[in-house]
Amino acid sequence: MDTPALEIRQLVAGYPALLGLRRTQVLRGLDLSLARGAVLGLAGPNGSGKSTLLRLVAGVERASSGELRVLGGSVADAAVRRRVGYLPEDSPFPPELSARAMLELCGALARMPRELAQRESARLLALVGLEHASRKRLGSFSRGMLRRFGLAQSWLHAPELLLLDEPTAGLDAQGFEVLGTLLGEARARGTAVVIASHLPGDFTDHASEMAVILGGRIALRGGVRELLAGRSLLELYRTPPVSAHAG
Amino acid sequence: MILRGLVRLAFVRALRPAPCLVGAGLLAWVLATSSISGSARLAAGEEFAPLWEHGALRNAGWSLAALFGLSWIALQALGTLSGWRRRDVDWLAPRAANPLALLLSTWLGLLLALGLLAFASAVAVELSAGRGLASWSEGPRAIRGEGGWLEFGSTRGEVLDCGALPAGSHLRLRFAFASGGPDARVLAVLRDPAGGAELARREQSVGTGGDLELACPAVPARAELRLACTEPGLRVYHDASAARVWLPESSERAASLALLARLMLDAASLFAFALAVSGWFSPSSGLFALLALALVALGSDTGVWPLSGLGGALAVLREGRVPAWPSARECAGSAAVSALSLALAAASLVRWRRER
Repeated sequence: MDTPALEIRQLVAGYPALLGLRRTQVLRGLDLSLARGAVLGLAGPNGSGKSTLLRLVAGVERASSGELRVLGGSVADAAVRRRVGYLPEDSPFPPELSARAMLELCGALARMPRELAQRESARLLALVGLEHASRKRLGSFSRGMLRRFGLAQSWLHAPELLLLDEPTAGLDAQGFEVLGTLLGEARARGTAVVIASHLPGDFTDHASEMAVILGGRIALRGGVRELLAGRSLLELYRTPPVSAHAG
Repeated sequence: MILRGLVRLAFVRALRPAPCLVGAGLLAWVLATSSISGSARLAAGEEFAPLWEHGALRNAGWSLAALFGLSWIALQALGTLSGWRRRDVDWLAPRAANPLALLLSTWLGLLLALGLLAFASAVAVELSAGRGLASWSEGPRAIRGEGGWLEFGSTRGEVLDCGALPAGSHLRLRFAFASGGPDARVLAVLRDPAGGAELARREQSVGTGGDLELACPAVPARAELRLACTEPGLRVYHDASAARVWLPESSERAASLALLARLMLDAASLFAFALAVSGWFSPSSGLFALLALALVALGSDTGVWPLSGLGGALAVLREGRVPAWPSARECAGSAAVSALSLALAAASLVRWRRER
């Protein structure tokens, strides 16, 4: 438990532009560390690289350069990736499968024993309020239902690091409650959590600290109440408080 | 190693309702409108005409099922890896599953989807073809060696190299390149190797090239076959490589089962190959490679190893007869190609992950 959940140094990442002739840099030498059991809110304007950072940590994409240690290991290591839970931004789950079948598939992919995967799938579907829709195809789900399903799949294998990309986008009041319950479980298990969001409420309700990405780097980092004291996120992006520090 | 959920996902994605409905509609139309042509009825003769009538229907139905089913699901196979890299990457990549397990499961799902389509086609074809008549199934090659010219006035001897034959078997001999007149006549006599008693005899015209079919009683192993050209001044070539034994079959319906087996065997190789080619190159490169292979598979009578000669089997179906079941060699070839292709496809996934 001594190694941090996340250690990032000088991370550079981007995507190809102009028919692959050049790369647009999204992250430009980002540094970040996260202790085990901590809950970090990740803020930043659109295109600042929040989702890219989470995709890199989840192992969906690779960085151009820099160091990325996840749970003390390399994200290229399959065994490390299996200890990470990830809620993608767009809920890109196969519309052809039922919620139950998809959760069981996720369990099998994460090498969970079949019975455990079935038991956890049923428990989590009940927890996120989708028990009644467990046999319905994901293609018939509303956006909010898909977000709740996404939360369930990210938590299925009891990861040690949980990455949530805009978890409340499209959620209703019950969904907010579901997120709270799930994060309560995560805290109780000592899971480190990163929540990328545009809603200050997501940080004040769930995070213990907060980081703001501006210009491809962590521009601000500090306590949630300290950073958001009387300020909107937009004000925070434009005029960073003097007391906050980068890193 | 097998991920049941992924098998199910590949199965469900391959069997989307719209193409299945189009395929079912086309099959219904083909089965409703197909019938034996006048020239085919003439070629069949009175004795075999009922079998050929059913055969025309089976051939049309299975040709459509094979072409549509194979090509549709091969397209799904071609798009699988690019789909994983694009639309499925966010939920698939973080799980860090074994690439070979992913591919094996998907390949099985695709095969199951084709199996279901082919089985449904078989039921539809057999329901349309009506009651199953007694027929013959394609047996082994009858004679080793190349064959040779039959000159008028001389006799050519051959030995059957296919073991003992049950009563009711047929021996089909092929003649070609007749010269010296418009219509060669051939006499074929089958004799018991012990004692020389005559077992069967037939004399018929083979035109400038054609088949002679000899109905046989129970035939012992290594029976002697005497061939002669009975038209003065004519000669005709006996193509021994095409000499086939046809074994009695209680029902022509076995044809659909044999074709189903061949279709699945070819599908196993083709789908695995599609996964591999699209993994290393692109779905469109894979499409062209598959089209070339499909043309070879459907166009060849004898089959191009490890493909099982689907074209030849469909031709057998046309006569209301039963194609041979895939041989052990064909099964082994298909298994080897499938295993190698899946391993290559898995390697392409590993490379892709490393290069991202």
